[in-house]
Amino acid sequence: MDASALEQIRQADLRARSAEIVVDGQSLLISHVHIHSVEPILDVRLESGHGRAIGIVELGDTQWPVFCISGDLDILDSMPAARRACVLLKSDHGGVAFVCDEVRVVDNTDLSLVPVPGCMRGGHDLMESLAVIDDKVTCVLSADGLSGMLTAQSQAHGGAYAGSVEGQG
Amino acid sequence: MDDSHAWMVGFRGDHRAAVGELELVHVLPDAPPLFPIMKAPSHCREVFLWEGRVLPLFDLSIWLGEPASPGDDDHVGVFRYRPAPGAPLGYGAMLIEGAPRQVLVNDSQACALPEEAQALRPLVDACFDYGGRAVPVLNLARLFDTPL
Repeated sequence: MDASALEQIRQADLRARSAEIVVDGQSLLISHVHIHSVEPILDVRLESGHGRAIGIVELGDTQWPVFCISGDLDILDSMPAARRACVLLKSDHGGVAFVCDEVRVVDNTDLSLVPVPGCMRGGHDLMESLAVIDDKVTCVLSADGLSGMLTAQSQAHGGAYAGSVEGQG
Repeated sequence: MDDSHAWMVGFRGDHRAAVGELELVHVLPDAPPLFPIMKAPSHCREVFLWEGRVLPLFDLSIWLGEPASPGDDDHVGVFRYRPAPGAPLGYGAMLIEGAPRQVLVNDSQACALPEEAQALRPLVDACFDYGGRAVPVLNLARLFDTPL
């Protein structure tokens, strides 16, 4: 299967269903195939000792490190009051989670994907593309890119859980 | 010696640059709704929708080191460019100050990029003298399509 066919499948996946996640008023899209689950904020156990993660979520025998990010994807060390939900990601980097203000399911066949303009690309792999939904432009985030960034940050600060989650679904 | 038409455009901080006659396609009278893009560079943090396209809004003044404070006479100019021979047209936008001015230019006006505009060197194809002042000619494909 060539790269363009894989890209078509990826875009079809994204069009089928994705999550629109709002953090600090900034919305972003992540394909549903990269989301393990969304948990209530009350399930986040705030505790230190996990690198830059603010705490953990326990699902069965598995502990997911939970990060707090800003609308510009910077890692925050404390959680703003607006955070209401916790998104658990699955990716090649293992399972990590982050808290957000809102989540809604987008099942939108009119979703239009466009590349990130060259002059806006930084030296990171966080952004897959931009999407136009309901006359708004939203960032389509790479779950692998975000997980990789969070995992690297956690490991750099001695995190105990990131990248070593077992039994994720 | 043939004259060519160009658009001379002002930018906050008393900066000027020029683009080709066919490269400036629209000046928006009002600021459109802008959408911030995560982790985008400070000189190009937002996009907007224009005629069904998603356009990056490049602030050349910030690129040149000016503070990010909007001016009273700021407008959004929409530009088009050919990324490569035969390639489809690309579109982008810049925050401009005042009204663009059409000028006639010929080869005898060619000059060096002045010291104070060296930050533009990666974005510039040429420079010409206009009324005793050097005006850089922007390469829009490089400006809009290249990670800077």
